[in-house]
Amino acid sequence: MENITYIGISHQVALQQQIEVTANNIANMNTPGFKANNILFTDYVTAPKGGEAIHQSQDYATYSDLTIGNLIQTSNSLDFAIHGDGYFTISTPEGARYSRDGGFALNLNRELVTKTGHRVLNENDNSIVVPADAAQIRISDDGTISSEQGDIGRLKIVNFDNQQALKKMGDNLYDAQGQSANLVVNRKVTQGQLEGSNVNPVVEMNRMIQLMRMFQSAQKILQNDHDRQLGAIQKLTQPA
Amino acid sequence: MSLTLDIGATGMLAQQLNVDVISNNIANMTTTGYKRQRAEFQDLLYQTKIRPGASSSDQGTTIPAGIQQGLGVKAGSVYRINEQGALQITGNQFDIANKGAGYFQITLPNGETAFSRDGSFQVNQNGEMVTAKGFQLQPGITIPPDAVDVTINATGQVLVKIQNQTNLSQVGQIQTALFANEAGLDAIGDNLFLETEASGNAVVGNPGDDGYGALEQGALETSNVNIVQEITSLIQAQRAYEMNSKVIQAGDEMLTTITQMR
Repeated sequence: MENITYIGISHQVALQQQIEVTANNIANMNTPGFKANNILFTDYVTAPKGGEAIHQSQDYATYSDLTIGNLIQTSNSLDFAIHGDGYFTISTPEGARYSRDGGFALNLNRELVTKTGHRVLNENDNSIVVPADAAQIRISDDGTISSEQGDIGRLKIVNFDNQQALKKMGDNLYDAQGQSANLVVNRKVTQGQLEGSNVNPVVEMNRMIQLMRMFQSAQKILQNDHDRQLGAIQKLTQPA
Repeated sequence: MSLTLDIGATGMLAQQLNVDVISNNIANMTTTGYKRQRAEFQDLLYQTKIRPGASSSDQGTTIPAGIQQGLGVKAGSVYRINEQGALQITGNQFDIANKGAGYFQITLPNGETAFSRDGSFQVNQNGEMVTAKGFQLQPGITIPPDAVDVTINATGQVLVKIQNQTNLSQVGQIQTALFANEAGLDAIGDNLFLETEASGNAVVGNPGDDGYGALEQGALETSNVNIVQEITSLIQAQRAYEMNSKVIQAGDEMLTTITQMR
């Protein structure tokens, strides 16, 4: 008797999850290197005795849209963008983390660091130190940073067999979740640019409106079922 | 559901900061030696609802991606882009532009040393070179009252021509300061900066030396604000702000739908 209510509720819970993911995408519309998230659903089948199977909806996984975001021209010599696949390797107190956000700065020791102060690693897993009297920092396509006085180090750009399994840690960082990082051979890094967020505002706003309407229609189903139950009770309890 | 409202709010706050930074850049479009700023954002923490890699059966199958719910956005940093500004010829003999790295040193009234890219100097009643606020250039340079012409060369030497003398005489040497991390300087307004632990100590040297920019007399370094870029960013930021407000509206409407449930 209450099956409709349960199906309706499972639908609403799923829609709510989805709108939260959409809200997070819209909030990160201007976050460098951000990858939009999407949510997947599956049906959860229950087969009551003697009745037909009931399919409820259940959230199943979030996945990232891995398309590359637009490049934003910043003219800052310490802003780098990776063209194609790959992640910068960042050293944090919790271990190596990975990022697509190439907006770096120098710290007191002239080490290349992220905006949160974590060191960016070179291919030998050491920090990249810019000499004190270097005036011009340049990067070649393969990620080698140099100044007018010579090479400084090569950015460690890695990729993973399963990028979907990377865990987002906030601060534009990813955790590899135990996956081994493979050095990217064919890479291209450019300077003075940042990779923008790949969130497409049109798609997200559209999805949000759609979700909102679906939520309302699910509500309508619940409402109708409620009325039906009420009517049934009233009719059945009327004296003959 | 309230997550939607909160996430939308973080987005609005972030875009508010973005607009604030952009408006300050536009306001300082014609400020001598001003370096434009950029706000940068980072995603907030994630809530893990289903952990990626959790086993989905006793046959060793695992969930490939899991469910991660992001909680919005935050301001990562607002940083100065220390790109060289264009030189504007003013013809004023006490206007000096720095054509490379290095800050002029200014003595504040409290004795502290501040640093500036603004080279529009004047002479006070004692013949000392001072900023528009009357703060003295360091090392102090005094122009004799009988000087008819002042030449400041690329390496910072201040030479004056005294009436009835054939040779120029040197009255001082302008020195500039370099920092390990310019972005770490503390801006105090009036085009002045203070050194901080993050910037490192000032390394003072003569203009034109290795690493130090040469000087140009009769010119000023304009602000490096690119107005086309700023206006475009302003439009983007405002639209992003609007979209985040729509998210809040949507969350609100969904809450209304729920409260209508009997």
